[in-house]
Amino acid sequence: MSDHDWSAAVSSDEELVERGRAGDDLAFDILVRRHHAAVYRVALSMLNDEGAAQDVAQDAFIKGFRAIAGFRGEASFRTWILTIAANEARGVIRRIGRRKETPIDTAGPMHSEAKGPDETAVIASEAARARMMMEQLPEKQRLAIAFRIDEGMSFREVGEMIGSSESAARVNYFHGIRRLRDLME
Amino acid sequence: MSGTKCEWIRELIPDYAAGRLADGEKESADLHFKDCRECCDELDLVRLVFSSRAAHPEGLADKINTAVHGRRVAGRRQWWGLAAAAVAVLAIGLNMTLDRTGFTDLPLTESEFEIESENLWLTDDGLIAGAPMLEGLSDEALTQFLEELTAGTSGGAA
Repeated sequence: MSDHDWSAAVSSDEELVERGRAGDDLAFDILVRRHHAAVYRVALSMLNDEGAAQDVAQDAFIKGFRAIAGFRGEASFRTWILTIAANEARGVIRRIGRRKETPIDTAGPMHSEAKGPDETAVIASEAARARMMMEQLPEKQRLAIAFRIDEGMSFREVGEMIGSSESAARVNYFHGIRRLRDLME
Repeated sequence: MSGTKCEWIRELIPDYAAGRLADGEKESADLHFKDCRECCDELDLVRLVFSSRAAHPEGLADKINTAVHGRRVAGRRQWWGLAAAAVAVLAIGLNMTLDRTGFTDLPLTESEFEIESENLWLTDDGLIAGAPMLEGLSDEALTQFLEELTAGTSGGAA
């Protein structure tokens, strides 16, 4: 790895944005590698379609870098690119009419006590079931849970993503968690 | 457990489950979980949700970077193409303007000047550059010139 590559790899997002603006393609490469998983998951949370989520992730970065001159650093780059991805995903939902549905009846039975050598498999099964049960939640509750837990967003960031205030995002999250606990029992 | 403590811990549970908490906050949460069944249950649920988060597809970053670079290169080419076109238009416009004002004479190299000198037929008044002066020629020379001229117009001598 050259000094330039190494320097870019350890740079903050803000420094990489500046480098990218100055024409450093490597800086954009690193920003993509840092944030593409979160961008993809946000799109997947909203669309429930892996192929469409990949397309949205790609389009989000293309549009984001094209508009990078307008990024003023008021929010973090991560929040900024995730917001672009969320907007892209909303556009896809508008075009196709509705979000892809997942059949709930594929969820396995609930195991309250996970013991023995199959414990890992049971936990994995329970985890998959929890994720499928999230599909039954109202959209804002489901997205508040996904963004807060999966991506570690603050409630203020969650609010920006779902188009609510910070306090409404918090309420949506805790209502969603309570509902999910009920569904899992 | 006090409701205030539970409220504070519940806000932290997603970060605790994902290993994103600072050491001090993690110790406080650990102490709380020992005595609070309600928060432990919520932690278990949040852990399940976090562990089931989607894995991104293999090679997605490369795919995105390829697309991003493709667009940027295409954008640059388009920009250079426009710039080149603008320069060409400017050059043509400038050339036409200079042609009209008679500033198109370019300096000749020495060898080019010699060739030009050999072919140059001097004139008294210079009204028609390159036109032969026929008055000073003898009949013999004039006949020879006419023969050469005729041979030139008929495709040249063998």
